[in-house]
Amino acid sequence: MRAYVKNAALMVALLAGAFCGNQEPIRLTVDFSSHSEWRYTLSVDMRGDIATADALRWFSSNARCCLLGRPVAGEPATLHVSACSVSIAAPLLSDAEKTNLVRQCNEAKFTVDVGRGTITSDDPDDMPLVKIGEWDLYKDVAKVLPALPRGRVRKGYSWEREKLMPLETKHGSAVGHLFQSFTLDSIFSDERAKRTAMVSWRFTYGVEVKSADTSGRLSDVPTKGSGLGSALLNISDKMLEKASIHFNVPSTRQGKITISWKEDIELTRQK
Amino acid sequence: MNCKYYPVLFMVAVWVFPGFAKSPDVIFSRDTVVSNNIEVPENATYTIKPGVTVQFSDYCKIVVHGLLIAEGAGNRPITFTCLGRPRGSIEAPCWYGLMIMGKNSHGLFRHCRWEGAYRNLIWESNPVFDSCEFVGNHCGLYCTKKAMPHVKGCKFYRNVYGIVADFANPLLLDNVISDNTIGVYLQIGSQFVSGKNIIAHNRTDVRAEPGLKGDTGTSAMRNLWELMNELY
Repeated sequence: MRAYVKNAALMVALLAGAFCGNQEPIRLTVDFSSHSEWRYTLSVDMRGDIATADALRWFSSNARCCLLGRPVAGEPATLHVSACSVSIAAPLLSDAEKTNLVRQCNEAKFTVDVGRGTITSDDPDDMPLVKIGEWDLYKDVAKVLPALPRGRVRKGYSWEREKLMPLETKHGSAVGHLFQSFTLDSIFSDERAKRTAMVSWRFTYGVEVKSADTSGRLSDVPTKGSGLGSALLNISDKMLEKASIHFNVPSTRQGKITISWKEDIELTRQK
Repeated sequence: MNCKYYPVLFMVAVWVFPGFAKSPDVIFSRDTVVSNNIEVPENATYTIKPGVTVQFSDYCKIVVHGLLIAEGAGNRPITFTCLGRPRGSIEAPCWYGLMIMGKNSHGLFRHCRWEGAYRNLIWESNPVFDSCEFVGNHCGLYCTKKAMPHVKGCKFYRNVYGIVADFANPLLLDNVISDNTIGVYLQIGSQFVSGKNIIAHNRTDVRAEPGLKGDTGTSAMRNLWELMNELY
């Protein structure tokens, strides 16, 4: 009986502690200044299928690389990043095209503000470029980054972000409409008493065609998708441990063609 | 006309034609080794003098948003290649290439030689290539987004693709396109406006893709994959 009471009291104390801990507002911040170098791995998988009345074909591509980050003085949430160890698998691309992509990505240098969830190229010439059949490393990093709230927040707190992105394609220009709704899902402590926050988000992305497309190609592809994202933030050490998204453009019939498209992107800190 | 009006006329000219009073922003007058991308900004003019060789030591590109003028001469051509690449080599590309980007960009190239580039891209622009050579590139010229470059008296050889038109209509006149894997590659929605050209002795002289509707061939798939990548 005494043991039972003792266990019950311990359980109540733990629950109370956990409850109180979750109610305490916390600041979701990232501070890279404690190390001179940070290393993340990025993996990107894309796949889709195209169906006509009598045929179905699928396509896929995946890319992996490491991202080497150095803190920016005076901006603790920001890293200068360069890509390394790039590998690409895409059956639709020739060896020369894959080699070109690897060489371009290995040259990539950009700045990531994890606090704001934004990315800019260190090479001012590079960002406005249009990619043709190419892996857009910047875009994939930007997709997987959460936007963090400025003030202190409690478990269950939600915040939103809306972005418009100009898009240039060879068939005409368009605007991408991104809407993200973030929630602080939970706060927990690991075995070393490091407090970790889990943030999740839902997002929708739609494409609005802006210019007349005489080829008719833009009307062949679906223009809406939605997805889920999640991120683990080490609150004790102020670092982003992991972030991932899953994006899905559901099978949509456009004229004679039905297309579906899926993306999985994951960013993981290497210890 | 009375000379006193000249300053007024000059002011009007500057106002109507912003580039009127502008001297070239950058001039390459001697051989240059480049280790970073070169960008010609919008409203700027870069000029390369005859006989100059521009060598890339890294996988870089020339991006033109303004105007690039490279007018060589028959005995003093301008060469774009990589550092240490043997002349006429068919080794893998060693620099990205030229990119002429957008309606406001323009280029004038005469007696120029392009070697070892992955792709020389013409995007929604109408530059002029006169008496140029494209040798040992992955793609000699890649024209897209309704680009209509004027390609006259040029030679394309030892490239994987001599000229690619991808939703574009290059104007080809008096060119020799030979000894390439594919001489002219017309992707969906493209054609070339052609005068007299010699397109012969390529592994495939002209490849034209069929229309997309109902087609699930590799080219159509790839085209859709590229478009989805651009949009999402």
